[in-house]
Amino acid sequence: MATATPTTTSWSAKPIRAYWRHFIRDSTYGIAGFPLSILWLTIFVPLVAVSGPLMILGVGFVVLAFTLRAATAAAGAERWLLREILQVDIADPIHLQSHRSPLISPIEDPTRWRALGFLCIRMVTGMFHGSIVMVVWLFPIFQLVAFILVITGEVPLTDLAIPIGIGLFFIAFGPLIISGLAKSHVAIARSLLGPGREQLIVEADLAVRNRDLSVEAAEAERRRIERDLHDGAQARLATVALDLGRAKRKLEHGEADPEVAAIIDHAHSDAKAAIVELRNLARGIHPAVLTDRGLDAALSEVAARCTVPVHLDVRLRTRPPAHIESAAYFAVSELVANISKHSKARNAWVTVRSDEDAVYLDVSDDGIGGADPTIGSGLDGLHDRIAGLGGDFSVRSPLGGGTATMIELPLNQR
Amino acid sequence: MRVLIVEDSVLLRAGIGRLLEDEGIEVVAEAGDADQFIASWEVHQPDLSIVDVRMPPTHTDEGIRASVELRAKHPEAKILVLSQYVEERYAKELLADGRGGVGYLLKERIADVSEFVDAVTRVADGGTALDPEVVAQLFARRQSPLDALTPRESDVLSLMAQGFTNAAICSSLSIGQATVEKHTSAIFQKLMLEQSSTDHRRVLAVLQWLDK
Repeated sequence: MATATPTTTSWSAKPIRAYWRHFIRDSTYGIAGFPLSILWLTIFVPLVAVSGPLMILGVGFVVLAFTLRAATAAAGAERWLLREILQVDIADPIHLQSHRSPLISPIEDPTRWRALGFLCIRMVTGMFHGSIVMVVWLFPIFQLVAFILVITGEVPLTDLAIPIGIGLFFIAFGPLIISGLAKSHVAIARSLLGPGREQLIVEADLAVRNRDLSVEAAEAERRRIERDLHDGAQARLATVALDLGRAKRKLEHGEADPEVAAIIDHAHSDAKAAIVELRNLARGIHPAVLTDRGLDAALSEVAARCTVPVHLDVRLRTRPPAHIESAAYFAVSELVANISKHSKARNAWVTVRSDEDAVYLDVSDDGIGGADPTIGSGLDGLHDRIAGLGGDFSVRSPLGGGTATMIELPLNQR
Repeated sequence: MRVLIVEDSVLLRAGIGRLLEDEGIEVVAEAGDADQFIASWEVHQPDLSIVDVRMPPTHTDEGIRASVELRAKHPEAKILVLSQYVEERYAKELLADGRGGVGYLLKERIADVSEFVDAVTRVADGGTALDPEVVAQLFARRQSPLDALTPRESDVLSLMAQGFTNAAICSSLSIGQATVEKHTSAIFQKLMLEQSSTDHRRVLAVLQWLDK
C-alpha cells in the first residue's frame, strides 16, 4: 500500500540548505531517469509495436506476455529509483493469484498493464525531466560566458538580452520546475506502480476475515473460561456453601455455642454471596444460556434482573452467528443496566428483530431521558463496539422524554 | 424417601448426598450423565431424581431433555432439576405434561438447606417448585404488565407460581390464612383464571396465564 510519506520535494519555508539538498536530489532523479527513459523506449516501443501484428499469428500473445513481464521488472527498477533517490516508498503490488497458464495470467493482471502504462508515460516525461535538469544546470555556465562577453565588449548587451533574460528565468525558477516535475513523477508512479484498487479490495476482505476470526477466537476463549469456572470454582464454592448450610442447620437443632453459630452463619452468607458474584462474573465473561438457548432466553434473564419492569419481545428469523449474538446480548445488557441505574423509568421495552441483512435491537424506556452518548456514560464505549462490527447505533433521549436506543448489527459484513 | 442424584460433578454429587442423608433421605444411586440417569432410574424407581441440567457430552441441556424423555416413558417419575442459570423455557418444557411432580431451581439454592429440603419434599409429593427467578422472567415476558394487581397480590402470585401452598405463602409473607385466600381469589378473578383445587394445577394455571 502506498505509504503516506510526505512528498520530499516540498521545499518552501525550509532553510536554504534543505532547499539546496532537494534541488540536488530532484535533479539527480531527473538525470538518472534520462538514460532509463531511453532504455524503456528502445525496449518497449518495438515490443508493443511487434506484438500487435503478430496477434494474427498467435505469437503476439507470447510477445505481449513477455512485454508485460518485462514491464513489471522495469516497474520494479523504477520503484527502486524512487526509493533510493527520492525516498518515496511505493509498496510492491502483489500480483493476483491466477491458475491460468503463464502465458495468459500476465495479460489478465491489471497490475502489469499499469506498469506498462507507466513506462509509456515515463519514456516521454523522463526525457523531458532530464533535459530540463541539464538546461537548468548548464545555463549558469552559458550565463557566465555571456557575461564575460558583454563585459569585454565583444558582443553588445542588446544582442544577448533575450538569452540572458531566459537564463535569469531558469536560475530563478529552475529548481521550482525540477521539483515540480519530480513531484508529478511521484504522483504518476504512486497511482500506477502501487497496489491497485482490486488489491485494496482483496486486502480489505482479508482484514474483515481476520477481524471475524479474531472475534470468534476471543468468543471461543470466553466460552472456555466460563466452562472452567463452572466446572471448577463454582462447583467447589457451591459445595462449601452447602456444607456450611448443613452445619448451620445442625446447630439450629442442637445446643451450640452462639458465637460458633454466628461465625457459621456469617461464613454461609458470604459463601452464598460469593456464588452469586461468581455467577455474575461468569455471565459477564460469557452467558452460558446464550450458547445453549440463544438470544431470547439469555435476554429474558437480563430482563428479569432489571429493577424496572422490562417488556421483552424477541423474534429472530434464524439464529445469528455467535459473535453477533454475543454483541447483541452485551449491548442490551448494558442498556438495560443503564435503565436500572439512571432512567427512573416505570417501564422498559426490549425488542429484537432480524431479517436476512441484520439484527435490529430497540431498547427504550419512559424515564427522564437526557442520556448523552458523547460523554463517558458507557454509551460511547458501546457505540465503538457496535461500530467495530460495522453496525449502526443511534440514541434519542430528550429531557423528560424517555430514552430510545436503536442498534443495527449487520449479518453479512462488508 | 429414596432419591437418585444425577450430577456430573463428583464434588457436588457427594455434597448433595451428605445434605440429604442429614435429613434422613436415602440416596439410592448416583449418575453422571443422561444415559446412566435413565438406566439407573429404571433399576431403582426412586421417589425423586435430582438432576443437573448441564452434563456430558455437550454440557448444555442434557438434563432437561433426559427428564422430559423419562417422564414421557414413566409419567410417575418425579424430578427436581438444578441449573446454574434458570431459563423459563426449561421450566415450560418440564411442566408441559401438566402432571406436577417437577421442580426447577437454581443450583445455588442447595446452600439454603431448609428451603431446598422443602422443595425436595414438595416435588416428591407431586407438587411443584419453581425458582423465583423463573417466575420473574415469566413476569418480564408478559406483554401487558400485571398492572391490575396490587403489589401485595403480585407477591402472592409470584409465590403461587413458585409452587407454594397457601400455608407456605402465609408464613413467607407473614400474613394470615384468610388474607392469603382473599388475595388468591382476587388474583384469579382479575386474571380470569379458574379456581383450582390442587396446588400444582394452580401453578399450571398461573404459568399458562403468564405465558399467554
